[in-house]
Amino acid sequence: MITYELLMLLRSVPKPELKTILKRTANAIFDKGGFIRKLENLGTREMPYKTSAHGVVYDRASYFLYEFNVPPSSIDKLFDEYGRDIDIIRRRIYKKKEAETFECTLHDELQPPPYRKNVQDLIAEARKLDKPKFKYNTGLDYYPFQK
Amino acid sequence: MLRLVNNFRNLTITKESLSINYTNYQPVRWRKPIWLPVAKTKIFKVPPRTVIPEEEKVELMRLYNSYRTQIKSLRRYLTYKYCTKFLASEDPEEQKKIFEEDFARCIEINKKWNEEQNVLREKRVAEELEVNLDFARNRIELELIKQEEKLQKVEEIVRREKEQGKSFITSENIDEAIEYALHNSVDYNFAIDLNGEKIFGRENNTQEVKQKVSVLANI
Repeated sequence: MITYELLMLLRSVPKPELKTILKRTANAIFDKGGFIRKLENLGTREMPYKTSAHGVVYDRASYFLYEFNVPPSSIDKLFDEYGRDIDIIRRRIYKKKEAETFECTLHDELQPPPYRKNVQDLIAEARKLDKPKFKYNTGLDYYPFQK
Repeated sequence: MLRLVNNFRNLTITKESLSINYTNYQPVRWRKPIWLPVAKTKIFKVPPRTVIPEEEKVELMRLYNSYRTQIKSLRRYLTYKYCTKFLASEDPEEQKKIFEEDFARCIEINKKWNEEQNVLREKRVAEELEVNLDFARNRIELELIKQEEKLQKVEEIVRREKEQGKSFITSENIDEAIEYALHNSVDYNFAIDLNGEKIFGRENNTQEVKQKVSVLANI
């Protein structure tokens, strides 16, 4: 069972009208024999750039996210149906992926460069290329005679 | 002989011994290499046929004839002695008996070998069978474990889905879900500060605006 994510940019309209649009899009999923796992409103705001859809140019949109399951064969139809809906400016359907587990390394990354493990490794690697230097073996860390 | 003569020459000091005659002096005889062609002077030379004196010819013929006769008789003698064809024709009953005895002996040896090989083969086959059975048992065990793990994984998925199934949105509760979504907008954007704490929100401005102090006022 594949879970899909649908992100829609809707025309910014008053709430009652928005409700009907959302209901219509949701019903399209139900008609295909699917169900919705999650419905999220990501806010209404200016789009990054002017966007034209169905012959009209928009600069504001309401962002909505659906998480849903439908038979994979009906995804094309669903996408097409949303494409013909004049209230939808943009829509895109993705397969939902499981979030990968990762270890937080922020603490290490916030340290100054010389304290970071990967930087230290790089320095150690670069030291290998240094030219060999003559060692006096005097047990002193300076040259005792006049040079 | 030559050396002897030379020695004598050295001993007897004469006028000739002091001056060597180089005209006939030839220390190493030069020979024509095999790959060179026939010398031009020798191409059409027909060497004269060797003439053997009559008496010598008769003698050689006699010697050769006697040699041929002796060799022929010797060969014939050995052939009659060792050829199986002539032996077989001597006494068929005897030959058959010898052959049968030999055959029986061969059969005996072959049987013995077969028995030895049979023991070895049975042992080997039993070992191989045991190894194969072990392998099969091991595989069955692994397969069962794998199936069990797979089943558990599937069960886990089903359990999780059942749990989540309560919160699924269907055509019955879509209105409430829409209502809820419209009133509660979600913002995944966040910033991170130096302590690693997240500050959620796109337009969230937590930084306090510090009061500007004029530097000139203090002077």
